[in-house]
Amino acid sequence: MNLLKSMMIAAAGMTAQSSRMRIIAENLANANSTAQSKDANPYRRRVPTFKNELDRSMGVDLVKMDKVVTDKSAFSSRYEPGHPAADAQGYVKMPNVNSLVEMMDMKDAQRSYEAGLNVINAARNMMARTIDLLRS
Amino acid sequence: MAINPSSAIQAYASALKSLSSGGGGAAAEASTPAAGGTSFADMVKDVVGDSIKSGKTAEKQAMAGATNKAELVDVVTAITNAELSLQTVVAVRDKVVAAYQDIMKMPI
Repeated sequence: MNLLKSMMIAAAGMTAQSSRMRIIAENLANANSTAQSKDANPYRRRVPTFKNELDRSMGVDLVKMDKVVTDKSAFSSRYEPGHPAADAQGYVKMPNVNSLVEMMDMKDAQRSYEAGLNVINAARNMMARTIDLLRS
Repeated sequence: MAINPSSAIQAYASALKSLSSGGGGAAAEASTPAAGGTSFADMVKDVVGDSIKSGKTAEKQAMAGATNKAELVDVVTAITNAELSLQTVVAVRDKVVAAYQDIMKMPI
């Protein structure tokens, strides 16, 4: 039935968005994770990708989380000569995580999740109102 | 346009069957009605069986969710499916019983 299918599709989208939220949490939590020595690299920002996947039992396209790739942009550096990972000039490589970008991604994930919630609510209401027709 | 009660019953039964076969793929095809119409008892048996199946799926999901093994969204959708399926069964039963009582109360 179509309304049940729309509920399952919206639920798949919400699952994907919660996985994205997990990646954002990892990025934010590791925003200050530096390396232990001056040769190693600090934490590299991770970017989730999504793909659509055909669900054969229902015959609909669901969204799934695809590979989590790393952000290839350059690391920032901070002057901190006492740090174990500091180079000869006293600079420490910091992760390429920008908290502002992560915050905007988080808002985006939050809004998409809410859109999924609204779809489920609307589909549920439509079905319940239709069943109510039998009761009158 | 000729409408008889058995066609209405068949419409209810086919609607319910399609509803519960779409619900998480848990409900198996129930016994197909014989040609010329199915009996009320068969219909109630099928429909209640389908509803119980979706209820069991919901229960399984809820248990998995309680032990952090399932996504919360899956638990919610399974429970919603079971709830809507049960509501449909109850509404159809009420309607058919009301029709039966109307016929029984008919003065001869």
